[in-house]
Amino acid sequence: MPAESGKRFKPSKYVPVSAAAIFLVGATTLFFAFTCPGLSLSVSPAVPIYNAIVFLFVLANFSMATFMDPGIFPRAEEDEDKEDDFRAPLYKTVEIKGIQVRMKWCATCRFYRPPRCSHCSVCDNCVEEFDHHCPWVNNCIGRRNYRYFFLFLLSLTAHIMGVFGFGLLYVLYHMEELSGVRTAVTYLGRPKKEKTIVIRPPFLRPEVSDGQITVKIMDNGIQGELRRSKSKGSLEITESQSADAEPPPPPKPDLSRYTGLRTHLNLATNEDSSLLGKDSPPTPTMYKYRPGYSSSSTTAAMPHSSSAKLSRGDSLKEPTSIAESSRHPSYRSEPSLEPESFRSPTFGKSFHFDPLSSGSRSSSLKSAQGTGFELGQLQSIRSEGTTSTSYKSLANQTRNGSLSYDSLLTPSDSPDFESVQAGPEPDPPLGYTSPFLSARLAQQREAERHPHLVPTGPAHREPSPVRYDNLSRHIVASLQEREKLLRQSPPLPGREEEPGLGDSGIQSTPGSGHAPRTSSSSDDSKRSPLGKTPLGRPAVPRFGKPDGLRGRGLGSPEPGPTAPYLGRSMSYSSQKAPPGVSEMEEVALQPLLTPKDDVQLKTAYSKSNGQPKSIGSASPGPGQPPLSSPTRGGVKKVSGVGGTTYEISV
Amino acid sequence: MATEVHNLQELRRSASLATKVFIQRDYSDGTICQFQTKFPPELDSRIERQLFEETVKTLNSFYAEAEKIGGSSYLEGCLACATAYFIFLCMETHYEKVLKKISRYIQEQNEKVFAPRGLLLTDPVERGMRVIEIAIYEDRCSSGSSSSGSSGSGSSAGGGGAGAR
Repeated sequence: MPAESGKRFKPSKYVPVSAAAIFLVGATTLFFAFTCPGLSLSVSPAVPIYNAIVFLFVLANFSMATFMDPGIFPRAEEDEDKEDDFRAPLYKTVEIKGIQVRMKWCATCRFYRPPRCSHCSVCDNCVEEFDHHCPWVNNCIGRRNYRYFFLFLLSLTAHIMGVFGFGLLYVLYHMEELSGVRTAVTYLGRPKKEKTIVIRPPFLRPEVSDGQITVKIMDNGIQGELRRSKSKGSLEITESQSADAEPPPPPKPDLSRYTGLRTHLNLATNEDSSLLGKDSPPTPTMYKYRPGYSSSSTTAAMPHSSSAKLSRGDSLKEPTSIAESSRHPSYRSEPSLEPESFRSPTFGKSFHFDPLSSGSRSSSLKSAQGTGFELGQLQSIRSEGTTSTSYKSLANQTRNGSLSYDSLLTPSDSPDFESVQAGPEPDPPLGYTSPFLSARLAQQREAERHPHLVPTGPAHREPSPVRYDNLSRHIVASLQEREKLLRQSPPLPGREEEPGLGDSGIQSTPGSGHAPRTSSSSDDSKRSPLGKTPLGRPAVPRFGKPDGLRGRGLGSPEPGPTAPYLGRSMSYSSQKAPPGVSEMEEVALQPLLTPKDDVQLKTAYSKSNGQPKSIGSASPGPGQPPLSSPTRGGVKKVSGVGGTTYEISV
Repeated sequence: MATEVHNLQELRRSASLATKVFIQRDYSDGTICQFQTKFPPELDSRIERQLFEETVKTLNSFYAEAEKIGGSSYLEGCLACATAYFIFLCMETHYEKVLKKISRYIQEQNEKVFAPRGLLLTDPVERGMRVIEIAIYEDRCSSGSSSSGSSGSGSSAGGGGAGAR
């Protein structure tokens, strides 16, 4: 074996072949990994197969061209050139087919190179039929491996063309992906999505069911105001501002108030009707614009004027608002809660403020009577319309801690409040009182009334510290009362609470079926006509009904209990009216009912005639804050221990 | 035969390579693998011309047959290409088969013809198909002081043949 000349390992010799091999294998692998899957689906599954075959061919030829001996001449032994070495001419002429060919002496290989033989400096060998030395295969291309090298070239060309062509095809198939990078998220330059959804009325509205009760936990007045200001935003701010801007007006004579109330009522009715006709949820903004609501309903802090307005407007609006709230508790709960919170106490306060309710009960009675008709008419109208407004006013008032107390104290007084609104309240000095004052008065009245009420309807107001229980009970009671009203027709005579309250409640809250209208029940006679004819209610005298029941919402001890009555009347469905007061409450709640409840309302009227005070009696025990707020068909306010107000929207 | 063998054995024992004769390629017909059939003068006294020419001609035919492109070789090529040349692990090509045949023939010739005459042929494959190397061994024992060239060639041919193998 001829010893080869010392060959050193030259790494530079292997760079081209390594690069070529890596590029070839890498590119093909990428092609198979990324484009073949898509192409196999979009074009044909034969695509990757063809490409695989071609790639295999390329690899085989590449390997053969690299490792196949090209025809290297072994070194000539010493004996062979012994004669020629020293005096060997450089060339030896050979005749090939008559042609003289020179053969060169290869000093390294020591022989005369045959024709087409050349010495490769890279390989340091003479290769027969030497073509060239290919760095990409790191091998000479000679006679023996020329075939493989050529096939390698051919297959590589085919492979390149295939990969490029199918890659281009893939890109053409997925042109849309070119515009956006998959991994990058951009906001700009995104294709605009066409609107395919068409919004057309009528829209679906959630149905209000009796079982729907939304509990809203509200703070006492102070904090609640802040919260309201924060949450409600401008509205609350405006409300508070308006509230602050309007100092409580001095007490006005009943007549003036009465007239004002009339106008207010008219306005309120108009506004209510107009506003209600929109069939839009009484948002706080809307409340703002409502004369009755704007000031009082929106802000709990609204003092007397607002409360007065509220009372005026509430009496009329409450039934509508209540009805509305009852109808749409979901979205009215919030806005309605406030006004309702307002209203509930305002009802009580309205009793106080009501121009209809003069300073004295008698006067209030008269005025109430006088206005009761109007109010009744208005209320009836309103009741037919919406009751949420009144509820809202109540709710607003209840925002205030004191207000809430009112509502809570007199859950059953809501109808009473309403009725009282329809009729004069026996506490003229309180007519203008701020919600706070009215609330306090209501509380006082309630406290005073409690002794009265307790005997009459202990079941109505349970002075249990647990508000939730009362609330639930009230709610259930209101519901039961509704049912009872529907079944029963005769007004319950026992209801002393404030006929005015009851009537007002009835009138003002047509929507409520079961208003714990103890007040209304107080004057059965009044109520019956009222119930029969919502327009003309002789319940006015009821409004001015005396007794402890009266004093509830009027600033005197009675207004206290009346307030709760109103509050109760407010929460028709949600309140559980005490048995005695049930009828009254029902009646009181009726105005709060939705229009469909008008019939019930009327029946309730008749029923509740003469059933007063059970509501008043049902009012929470003396000295106890109102446990449950009257449900106005939409929101029921329950005051918890510590003055916390809970508004439950039904 | 026995004397030749004996002579061959004697030659082996005491053979000394005298000289080598290289038979070059014959390019008169192109670049095909052919060897000159010209009788080298060194073999004049060692072997008959006829034997020599016959051997060379047989070799030429074998080479021509090896490089002959026929149906079988074509199929071989296609098969090899189709299998990515993995067929070469299992099967040898026609060319290689012929080469094997040539090798067997040379071996046979050496044993039969050349060795008794003190000659030794070398497979040209070992030389890259450039030249046929004939080693002429000198019979020291028998021949004593024979011509160095012939003995050298004979011995060299024998040595070359032995080295090649």
